[in-house]
Amino acid sequence: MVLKSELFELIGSLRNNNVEVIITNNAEKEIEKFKMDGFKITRALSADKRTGIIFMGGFENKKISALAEHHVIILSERDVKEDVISAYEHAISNSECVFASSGPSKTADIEGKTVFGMHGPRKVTLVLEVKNEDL
Amino acid sequence: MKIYEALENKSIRDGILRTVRNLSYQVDKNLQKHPYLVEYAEEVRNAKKEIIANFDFWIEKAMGILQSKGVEVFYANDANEAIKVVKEIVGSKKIVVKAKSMVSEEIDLRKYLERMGNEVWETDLGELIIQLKKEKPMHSVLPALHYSEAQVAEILKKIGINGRNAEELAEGVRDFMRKKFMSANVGISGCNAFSVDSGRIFLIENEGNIRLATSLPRKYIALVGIEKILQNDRLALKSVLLQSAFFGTFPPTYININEKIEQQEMFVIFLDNGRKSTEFKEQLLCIRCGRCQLECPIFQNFGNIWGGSAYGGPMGIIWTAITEKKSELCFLSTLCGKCREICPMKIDIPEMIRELRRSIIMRK
Repeated sequence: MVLKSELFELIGSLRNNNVEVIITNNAEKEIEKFKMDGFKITRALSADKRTGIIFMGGFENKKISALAEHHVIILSERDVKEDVISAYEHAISNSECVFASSGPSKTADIEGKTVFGMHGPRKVTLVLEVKNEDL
Repeated sequence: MKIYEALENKSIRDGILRTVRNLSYQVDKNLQKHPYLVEYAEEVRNAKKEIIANFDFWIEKAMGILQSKGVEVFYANDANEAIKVVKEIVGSKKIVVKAKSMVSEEIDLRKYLERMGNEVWETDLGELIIQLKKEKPMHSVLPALHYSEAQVAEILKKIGINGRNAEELAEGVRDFMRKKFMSANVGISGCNAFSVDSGRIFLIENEGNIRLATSLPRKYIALVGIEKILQNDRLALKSVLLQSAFFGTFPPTYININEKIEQQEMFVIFLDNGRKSTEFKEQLLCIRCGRCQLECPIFQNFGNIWGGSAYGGPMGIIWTAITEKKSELCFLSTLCGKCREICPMKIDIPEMIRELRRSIIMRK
């Protein structure tokens, strides 16, 4: 598989943030297995390769992004941006009610011990859709 | 708790030092990996200086943009005015879910809403622990850092949550609070940064409680300290990213960008409470990352007990002078300068503490 360097950077950032990453040239086919109770699927507007911050839009999606047990996000390769400000500006030019997530919900409020799934999703999966020639 | 009792309380020191160990190197790592954050800090500092120098102009613009979007906007000169407005919006016998907010601590909001017969819940885990213990937060970001796992287990039994470890306890709180989120009438949050350009409220968090508390209830109230106003979305976003990076948890798991939407009544209350008239204007540059607290040798011994009724530590001594009173606790500072050295906004807290000392001595 040949991936562009910015995609490698994004994947590294996402993995640091405890996000599961699936790379595919057919996102629709890939998400079929997630279409069941507990999974919620959202299409991302953009992502910052340096931090792994993923921007999404829409009020209902915003609620879903916190209520889901397992949040599955589809991101197109063309929406991966160089920095967080470019990613935000790309997102607000394409949707109202923009918000961002970068990983599963977590807390360290008890003795500094990290626990995932505090109030929001216990798991976040990013389905990264790349062009055919990259796979 | 009184100041010298805090000194005897080993769990305060242990909790703070554990947090320093966990987070200090993370801040260094964040800055090494994301050097552009230093430039962001300079930009945000300059932008905030402009706002503070022309508060009236920017407040008027901020209120105008919100009104144009259908938000009900209020300006509170002091804590009493802010409480009065919130009480009128909320009414009584409501379920209120709150995001952690130092401004709400500053005006002691929960107490007043509870007195009116409302069921009020702090939804951040640490802040819930503090609510159940009827204490003030020990740190602005990690309010319950001084409690052990076993102590938290005992505290949470008050609301019927049982667990043997952090994971089980968090699971219990998740289930308990999910029911509250789903049935809440009103959500209340503070504001990490406000964009005048768009009227958007930027809030960062890791748990997901702010997203739920501000999007599920039909009514949403945001309390905005006037120093949180910034010119545009880019600066507001940079400011919240800095807050997260300089505390040590970067990137934030959630960035909430709240604005008026059709499905929700939205109320914004701008709070002055001493900010416009203070002689300690430089403190208003503070983005409340809480780093000066953790790194301070005096805070490491006394925790947030070294301060006023809401704010503690180096920044808290000055924030208390702005919002409450000039406290003689400023004489406990060693003036070592660590707070100035690590502050992303380069705030000269030691100089303000010297000034505070001078004014207290002159008053006597």
